[in-house]
Amino acid sequence: MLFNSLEFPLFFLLVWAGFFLLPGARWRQYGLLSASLFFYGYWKWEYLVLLLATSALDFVVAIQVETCTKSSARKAWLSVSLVSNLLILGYFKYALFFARDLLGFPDSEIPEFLKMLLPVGISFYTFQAMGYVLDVYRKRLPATRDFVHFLLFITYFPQLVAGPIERAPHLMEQLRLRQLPDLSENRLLSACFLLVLGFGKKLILADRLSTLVDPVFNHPDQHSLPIWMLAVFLFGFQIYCDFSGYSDIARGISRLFGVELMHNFRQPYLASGFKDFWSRWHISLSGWFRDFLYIPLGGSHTGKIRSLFNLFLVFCLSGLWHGANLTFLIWGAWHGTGLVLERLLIPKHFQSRLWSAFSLLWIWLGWFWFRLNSLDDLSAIGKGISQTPFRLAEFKLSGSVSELTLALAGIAMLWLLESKWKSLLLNWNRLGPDFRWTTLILSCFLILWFGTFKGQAFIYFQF
Amino acid sequence: MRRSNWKYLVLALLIHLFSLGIYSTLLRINSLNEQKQRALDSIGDFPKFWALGDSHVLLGWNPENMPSTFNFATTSEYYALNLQRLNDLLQKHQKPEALILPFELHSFSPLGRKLWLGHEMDDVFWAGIYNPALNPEEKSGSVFRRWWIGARFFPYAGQFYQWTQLGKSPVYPLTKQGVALSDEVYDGNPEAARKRACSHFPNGHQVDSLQLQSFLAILKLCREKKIPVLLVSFPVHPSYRAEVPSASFRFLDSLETTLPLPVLNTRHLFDSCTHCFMDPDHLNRRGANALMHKIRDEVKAGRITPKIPAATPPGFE
Repeated sequence: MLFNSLEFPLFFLLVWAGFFLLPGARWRQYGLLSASLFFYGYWKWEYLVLLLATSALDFVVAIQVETCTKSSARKAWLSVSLVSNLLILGYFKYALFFARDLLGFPDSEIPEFLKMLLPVGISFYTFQAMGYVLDVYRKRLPATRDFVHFLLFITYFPQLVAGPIERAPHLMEQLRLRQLPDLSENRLLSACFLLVLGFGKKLILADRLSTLVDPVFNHPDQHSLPIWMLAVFLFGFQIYCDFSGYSDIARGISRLFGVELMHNFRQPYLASGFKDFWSRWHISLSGWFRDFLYIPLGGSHTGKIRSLFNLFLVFCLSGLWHGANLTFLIWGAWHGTGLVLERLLIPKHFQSRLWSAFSLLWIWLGWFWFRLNSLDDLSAIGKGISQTPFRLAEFKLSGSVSELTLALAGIAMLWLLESKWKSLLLNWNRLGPDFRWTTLILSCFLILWFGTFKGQAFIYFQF
Repeated sequence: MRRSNWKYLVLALLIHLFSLGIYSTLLRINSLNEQKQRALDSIGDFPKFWALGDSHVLLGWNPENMPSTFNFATTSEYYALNLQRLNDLLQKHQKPEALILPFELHSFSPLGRKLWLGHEMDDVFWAGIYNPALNPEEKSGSVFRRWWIGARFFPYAGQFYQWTQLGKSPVYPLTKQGVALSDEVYDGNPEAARKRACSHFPNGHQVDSLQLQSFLAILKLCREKKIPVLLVSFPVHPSYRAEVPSASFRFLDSLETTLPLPVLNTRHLFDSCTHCFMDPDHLNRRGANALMHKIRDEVKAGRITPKIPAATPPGFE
């Protein structure tokens, strides 16, 4: 089910109202778990079996990891979880890529069972489950004996399909649901603020930008260089609005159930460099890779060359996490290169506007690789750029001038909001509730008038 | 809910009603359906010859000098919506003496479904006449019910661009018989033709079963009501045809041979009259007038006559 579908408001209102009627924490857990399973199964119920099976495995393994006293046995159980999770992820997400793109098998020779539909959100819930087992292994939290509680942690619907990838110590305790959520006016207002912000980003900006960007990438041989530059520039905002919009909605919904999800974005395009960018962009994923891969590989405490190599490797893998395509691997390597350069050239705690501008440009150019449909398109793009004369009229891309104007005005407004975010939030919280409610209601109607309603899925659902 | 919170609900409801009112009365004033209704209101008797279809018919079927004929076509109105309109007209008026329908290369493209369900049509009008029983996919697809709820209760959603048209003259000004005649002349730019064909055939040749089943349902309805039908393939510019997947030609040709109806195929009629087009696949005023002369000659000579559809083509039951 999509947050931006017509069914979702009805589903949410029923679940939310029902949640308050349920007697006691246990029933609330059952209620929220049932709703989460329905939410996931609504898309394709068959994949619920996969979700339940992997969750059951991680639940059992975590208990074994905790109860075993021998280090070798604990490691063996941990390996069972990691290998099985990675195998499942590998089969559903990368098997086809491996057979077709790396081994070069033609489509006709690839068996049908490798062409299965990718279960939505598989990368997110698999990483969340692996994170839990790793945290138990590191004794950061005890393994739960309550399967319902554990399953709710994995399937909690606001963040199930596109994150944030929550860490067990942060989320599991909240999901005990011992108390009914605080429904004070301020809390309701803050949740609704996040919902309005998220839907605004998604429906007014991200989906509108997609109608301008998609035709360029889907017809790579038909555009001049300035159009490609504009499309990449717009895509940088599209993906930010799409993904951070989802995270805002997820946080808003979750807050209404009394559960605080972590921040996944903190004005990333205002970052001072690559490292700063990754502490602001998809925070939950970069934190996961840092804690469970980069640091175990030695982090920055190994030799300089080794630590730079580790950094590069982690970002290549992070790129591959996004999708089974060489374009994502290049995108990851692109960022890895940027970070390596930053480590080599920029002293710690040194801030330079020139470097900020360079890193922002590098990050933006990286979106080209991220959005590229396939490496095969590169020759078509080259042909298009060399053969298509630039005409000013092309700037409207495939949309109308008013669409592009609205999108650019929205981007300017978003940039302004993000640059003044802290003072804005402070002032907002000081305003009276009447004013805040009225502003939110008016904003809803602005979204209705200015949004696009074609039911486009969030980009990160495919990962 | 606290009593003080009701005022916010009332406020939201008032803004919703205001938006609905503004959109339905003010912003739709120049919509094609509204214009057609005004044109129909100005005619004394209801027309006896009806032309349904999309922009090819809207711009290309000029019923001037054809008494009691009206062009009901609107942009992007594919067979699924033609069926709804025909049903609505038949419920409100006596059956026509003949029905003109397009039979085009893109008529079965998935674009029609996409535009309809993407709320890019005149939702207020279509939700008002929508009859789910006629939709061949209604039983299996909740997407149409979702579309209807959105169209019925929030037709203004996503319609900001209508504000930019406020006070401007209509994009397609109509004659009193419902045709829109353009004076633009297409310069033969192959890039424009490629883009146009890409929009009709984004993934090559595809037949949308919704449009095919609706097309057959129209023929069935006409057979039951004994309404003679004339199918017309409108002229398109050679540059456009060059971009259309060859499988689409083959599909249409094979369907044509099985149809129990005459098809007036004028697809190549203006290959040497390139100034008859306003863009790669639409006629301009000159083209529409020339086409009507041709059709009148054909009808006078008895070479083409609308016929009541005999039966559903074999293989399409």
